[in-house]
Amino acid sequence: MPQATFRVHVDPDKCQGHNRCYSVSPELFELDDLGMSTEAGTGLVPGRLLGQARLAVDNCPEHAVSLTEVRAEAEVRAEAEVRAEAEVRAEAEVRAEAEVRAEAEATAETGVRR
Amino acid sequence: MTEGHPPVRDFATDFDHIDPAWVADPYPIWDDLRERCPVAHSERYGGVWLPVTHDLVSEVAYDTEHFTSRTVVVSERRPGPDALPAPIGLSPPITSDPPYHGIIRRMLLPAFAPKPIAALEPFTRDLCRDLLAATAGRTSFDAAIEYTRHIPVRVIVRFLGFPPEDADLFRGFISLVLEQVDRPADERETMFTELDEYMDAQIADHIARPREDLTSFLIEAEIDGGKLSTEHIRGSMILLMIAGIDTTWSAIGASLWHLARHPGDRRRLATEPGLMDTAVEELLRAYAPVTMARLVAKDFDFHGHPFKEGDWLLLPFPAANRDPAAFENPGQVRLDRARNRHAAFGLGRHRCLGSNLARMELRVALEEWLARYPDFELSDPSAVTWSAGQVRGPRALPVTIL
Repeated sequence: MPQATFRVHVDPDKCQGHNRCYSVSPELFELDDLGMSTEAGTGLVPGRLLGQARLAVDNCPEHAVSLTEVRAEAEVRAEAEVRAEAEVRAEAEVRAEAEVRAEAEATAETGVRR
Repeated sequence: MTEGHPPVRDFATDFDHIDPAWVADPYPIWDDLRERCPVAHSERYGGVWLPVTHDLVSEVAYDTEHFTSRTVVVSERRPGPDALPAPIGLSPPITSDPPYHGIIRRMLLPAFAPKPIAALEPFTRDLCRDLLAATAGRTSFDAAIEYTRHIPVRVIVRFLGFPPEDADLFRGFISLVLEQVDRPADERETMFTELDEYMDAQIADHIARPREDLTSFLIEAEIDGGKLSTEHIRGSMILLMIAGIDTTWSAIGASLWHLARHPGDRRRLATEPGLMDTAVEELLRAYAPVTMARLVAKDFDFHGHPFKEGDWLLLPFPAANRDPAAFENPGQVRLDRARNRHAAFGLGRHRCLGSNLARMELRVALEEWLARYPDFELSDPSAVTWSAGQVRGPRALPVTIL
């Protein structure tokens, strides 16, 4: 069972620079020159900072900070990849079958001619 | 203080934010109105509305279509539609509306971001220590008069680069502007003129001798390649003085008032420095000093109430902070309250520009006070007085050092 991973995000249209998220977690957020906040890097939350991430969400007066589970996201992506691979495989199989058939037909034709 | 204002009959239909009952203890009034209204109305000041729930306060704060910020202090002089220069207002950006508001605010924000504000912390700490040192040897004194009221004004005077000895002069101006709102209009005009003249002299002095301070920053600032007008610079400086002094003085004083009355909280905060971050936010929530105001920009129906263009509206962030729909046990001060979306610095695009400064001053003032006086109480609870108007804080706070 893989551990759940989360991503924080600051909505730039909602952030008004209260600076609450950064105070709670200077590791997860960055401030620009105007004092407005964005998530640090990709926003991925290390397990040890999950508590801080939740507090950042719950202390933002503007409801600008969100926390989403990326495991779900990753699973959807993985599933899609599996599906795509399966489709590629299925197509390849169909193609291969067609080739085999074509070859068999060709052989049969040759046989007839022979 | 309420000369000329008759006693309030019913706060739902006749409220007055300088009424003695409101000034002494507004929280039960707001709790009652939240149950009964929750939008109260008064004919005073030419007509004022008062929403008291967190939801309604937020709704107004975010609605710049139906509400204008052209003036944010309710007084007897209700401006007509053309009385103030929209969308700039007299003290940009607090009195400005979008889209102009965003442009001027953006210009100011870098000066108030956490990093430049942190640079003022050593000065603030030294100031607090000096003020406390001056109380040495006495077991009782007025903490509002000798400590809290000096902190924000001296920090702002330093930030603006004005002569330190002018700090007292400003406190006088600010009291007149914010607290004595029932003075006749011509008296208020006169003191605004004096304030303008002082600011103009400072601007001229800074143009002649530029320095590394906020006044020179404003003189040098450009918007769309053009410098700011003198009126604009003066307006912004007056705003910083007014918005930065009474407010933080009130927050520091109310926090000391709370600690003086709650020995458990006092001892915990003095012995657990890690508690300071949540404690500062909780004290800001519970005793948020600032109620803002708006003017209704156009006739419309607000939740069944006929709002008319030019009506005043008080925007009580302190009442929003006590709404049980938004906070668990809002009447209880919990210094370790971890989830605290308080609106002490407002909501939306007019979020207090100086919030980082105010928070730093409050934290440093409490840290230094508790380091010197970890144990203290009110000398006489009945001697504590509170400011009237839209900024609430103790103006007399006699304490006894234990």
